[in-house]
Amino acid sequence: MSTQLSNANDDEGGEASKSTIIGPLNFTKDSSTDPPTSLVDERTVPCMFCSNTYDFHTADNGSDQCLAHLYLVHRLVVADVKEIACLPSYCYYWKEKFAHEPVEKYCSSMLLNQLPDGTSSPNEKYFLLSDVEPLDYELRQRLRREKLELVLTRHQFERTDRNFYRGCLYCRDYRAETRPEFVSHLYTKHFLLLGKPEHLVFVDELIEIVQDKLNRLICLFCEKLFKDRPTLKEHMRKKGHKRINPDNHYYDRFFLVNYRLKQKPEYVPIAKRKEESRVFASDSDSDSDWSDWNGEEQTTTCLFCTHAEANVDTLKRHMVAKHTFDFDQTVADMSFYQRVKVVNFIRRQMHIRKCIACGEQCPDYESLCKHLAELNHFRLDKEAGAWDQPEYFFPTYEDDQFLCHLEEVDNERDELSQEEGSIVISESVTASINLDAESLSLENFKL
Amino acid sequence: MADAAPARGGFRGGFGSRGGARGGGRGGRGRGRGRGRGRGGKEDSKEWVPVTKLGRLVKDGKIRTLEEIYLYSLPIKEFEIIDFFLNRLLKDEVLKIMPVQKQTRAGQRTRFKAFVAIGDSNGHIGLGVKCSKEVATAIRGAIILAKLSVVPVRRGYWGNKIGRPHTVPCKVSGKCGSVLVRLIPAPRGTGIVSAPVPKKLLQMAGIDDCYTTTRGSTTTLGNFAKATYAAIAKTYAFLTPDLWKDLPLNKTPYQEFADFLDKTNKTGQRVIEM
Repeated sequence: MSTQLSNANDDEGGEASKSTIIGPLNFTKDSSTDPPTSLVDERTVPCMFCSNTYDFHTADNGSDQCLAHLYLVHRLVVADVKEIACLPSYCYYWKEKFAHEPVEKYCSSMLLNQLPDGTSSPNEKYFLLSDVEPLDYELRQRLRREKLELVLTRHQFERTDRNFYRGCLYCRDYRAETRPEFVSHLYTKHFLLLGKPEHLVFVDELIEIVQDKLNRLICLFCEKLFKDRPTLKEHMRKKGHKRINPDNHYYDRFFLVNYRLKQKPEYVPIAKRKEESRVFASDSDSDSDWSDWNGEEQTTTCLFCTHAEANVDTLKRHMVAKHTFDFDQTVADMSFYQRVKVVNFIRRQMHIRKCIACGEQCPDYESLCKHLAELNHFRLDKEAGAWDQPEYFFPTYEDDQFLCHLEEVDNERDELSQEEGSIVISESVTASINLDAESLSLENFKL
Repeated sequence: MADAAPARGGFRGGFGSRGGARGGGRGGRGRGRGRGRGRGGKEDSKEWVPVTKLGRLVKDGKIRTLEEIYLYSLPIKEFEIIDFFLNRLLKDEVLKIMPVQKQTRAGQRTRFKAFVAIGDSNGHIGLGVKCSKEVATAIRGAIILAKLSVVPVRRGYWGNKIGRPHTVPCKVSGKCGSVLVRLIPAPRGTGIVSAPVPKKLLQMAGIDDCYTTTRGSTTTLGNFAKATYAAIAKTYAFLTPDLWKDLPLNKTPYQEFADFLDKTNKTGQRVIEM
């Protein structure tokens, strides 16, 4: 995560001091782009041995060409190609490996009695790259996992994104805001079943494909061509073809269930299937285990420079070493709210290029640093009330993690104590008597 | 929104299980032509038949607000009870869906685990987690568990009592695993000063301004969320002086029904006729 203080234009800091209102500041740039749809760039996938590149992005041709090339020119066959989660990543990985090591190290070799183009010739050597090789097996598992994560992120995004703006395929006046609404509408109003919205992913592409088929007057299910739109609609309605053919593997990638990690699929007859939706029956303890969800480290930024650390103590040591500023000592005898003000004050002053000790205005960041270092003004003037103002209750940076580590958290020491400068009143509570509920709660007390 | 999904079960649609869908589709075609077939699968959500005594009381309208249930610390075992009081106001948010794996003889079995937080941004918050073979089932199950865990949130004012309450009434802390979260009152306009995960929870609970202090391995976001939830729940557990006023004492049931108890031989009480 990149962090930057807003010192892109250094003059900006100077001008802002004229007005005391600064707009919201953030450490991390807002990354609200759509989640990616593939793990690597699929447009220029290189061959594993030479420098040919293939475009995997357009339909199926790219991957077929690449595989054909590998066979014909380099005599390499990849086992279970269809099972690989992301062929481009696979190619990139092995390209790197084959650059340094010979092919025989990782592939098993076979002898066939023909050349790649079919003419017979005795004892030609071919190579097979399969998951018998442990590296390859691990690679495939890793790719599958990464692909699954990616797909889940995309699925979550599609479930809640309100920027999806698309008109219905049949009625011209309906517009949906979210993808699940769109798919539900197609089912409830037009009986076109693409699938339950919560099982679908890459919905945009799927709708494009369906629309394309309808425009070209091809039936969605049986793929036959029709003369005109009314005939097509009649056919689809009468034959029950207003849905996706489950046997058609072209649509496999749109359904979440197909991204699960590989396991032999067992067909269990419907009668024998166990009831899935029992809420209270949990399979194992891991069901309700909260501790396996791990996130990224949140970094905290130094008060004076752009150095960021995950651990706050390390950051404080950095400030002592680099800026001769001992935070703990400075705030040793202050209440929580005073510490909050100190932090916000320092952040504010640094942002508008004012010295924290003497208040002198500097033209830019470099001169401010020089001033602070030379005059040793990396300290707070505790007497002057410059920092003890109510305006410094409000965080200068919206996502300033430094404010979350200001006091020692003791277990079970909730205080009602009113610290200086804070009066907190609880909201009034009205408890109304309910005889029925009361009797229910006393039920267990029988004579 | 996810709760409406089971209603379409009649069609046996959903391509979660390809084997089943094939059979269902063919069978349906024979049944009737055109629109009739599709319409059959689309029923409205079923009528709630309560199975607990509290559920019956709620359905009959004997309980006016959710707060009355909290006052008597009655355990809530049916999520429809929460729905009855807070239906449209509750907004659920899926915090994370992650795949979990288990090694079996036939390879690895992947299931999806959904973490859901639910709240009305006005004094109620709940958290639920559910693991299942399909994403949709996991989300649905997690929403139900989140509804069952809804607790009231007490808020307060900083300084003067004008407008709506906006911050926590006192410093409260909650712990889960190694993560400790402390919520501290803040003046109006501060916003929520915390990491993203507790920020979302505090917003859904209806707390507008709050400082937080955290300790422990906050990368375990699951424990982080649960610790925040525990801290928020504590706001009502804390006895402040203004809660000291006495509630009027009713006659105990033994006094009230002394005659009745005299008459009957059985010691068990019948559920009082409504």
